[in-house]
Amino acid sequence: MEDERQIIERILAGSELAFRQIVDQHSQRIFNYVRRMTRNSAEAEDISQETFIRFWVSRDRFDPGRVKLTTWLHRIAHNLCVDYFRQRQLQERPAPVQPDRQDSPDTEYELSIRAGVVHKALMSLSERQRSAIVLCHYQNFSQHDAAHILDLSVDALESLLRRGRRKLKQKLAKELE
Amino acid sequence: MNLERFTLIVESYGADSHRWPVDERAEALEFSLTSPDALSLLDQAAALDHDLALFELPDSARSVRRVEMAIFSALKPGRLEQLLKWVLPDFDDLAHTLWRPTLVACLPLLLGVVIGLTLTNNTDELSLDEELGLLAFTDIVREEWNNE
Repeated sequence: MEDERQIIERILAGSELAFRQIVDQHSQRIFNYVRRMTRNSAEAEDISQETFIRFWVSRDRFDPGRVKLTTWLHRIAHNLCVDYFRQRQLQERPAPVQPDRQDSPDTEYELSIRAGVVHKALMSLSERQRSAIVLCHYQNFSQHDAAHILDLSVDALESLLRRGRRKLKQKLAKELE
Repeated sequence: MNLERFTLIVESYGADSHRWPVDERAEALEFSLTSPDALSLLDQAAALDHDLALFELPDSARSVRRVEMAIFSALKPGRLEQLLKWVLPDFDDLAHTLWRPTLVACLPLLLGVVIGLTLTNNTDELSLDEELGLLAFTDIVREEWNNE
């Protein structure tokens, strides 16, 4: 079976077929990241789609020797999320909370009060703190890769994580009392 | 490793040692076994990790499928785009692709020549009725002229 390095070489040479393979391999993970960052499934779909289109259009800028493909894709997705939040802020519109009811109407996610509280607490974090926690805790990135995605030093990432987790702990303690 | 650094690590990355910085992991693990304060910190961090684990996303297979379909359809160029791509010369390989816009530019000229030839043929070749009409007209004129 073809390894990712060979697929990337073919993408850089302009192979659409190789690009499709990468989309198949990474779309779920990118969608999960964006879905956790935005609160809206439809927006997450749009941003995930745009992530891959941008990667394809500017594939010449990707250097596989310097950064892993998944890190690069997450970085694009993260920048698009930042744009999305900025736009929302300019329009002074809070992002609509849209549970994925069409995909799973009776999931535990919706039924569990505790999970709902955790979700709410995560969403109350700043976008930077949330992205740091999502990348390290849910997407399982190493601190170096997460710092690269957020364009931060490892120390700055650690500080973001610490403040984010502290705030979460306080919120959860208050909400679950 | 000391308690201060261990606290920073656990407060930042949680209780799961797999998330700790690789270069400090072994030392931090060793420290956690020897310090009661470290164990207490780990318990607190594990409780938060447990809560975070509750935030699971629902099955999003259909959403992801929609994303993939949208990406793949965006890759397909339209017919006009395909035609333009074919017609416009590739500046990196001008010698081999310049004939395409030249051909397209010559098409109206060729069409004009074809139409012109078709019309000329039509006017040169008179139909039988037209020829008879002309002959008849000539006879009448000659007869009238002789009578005068």
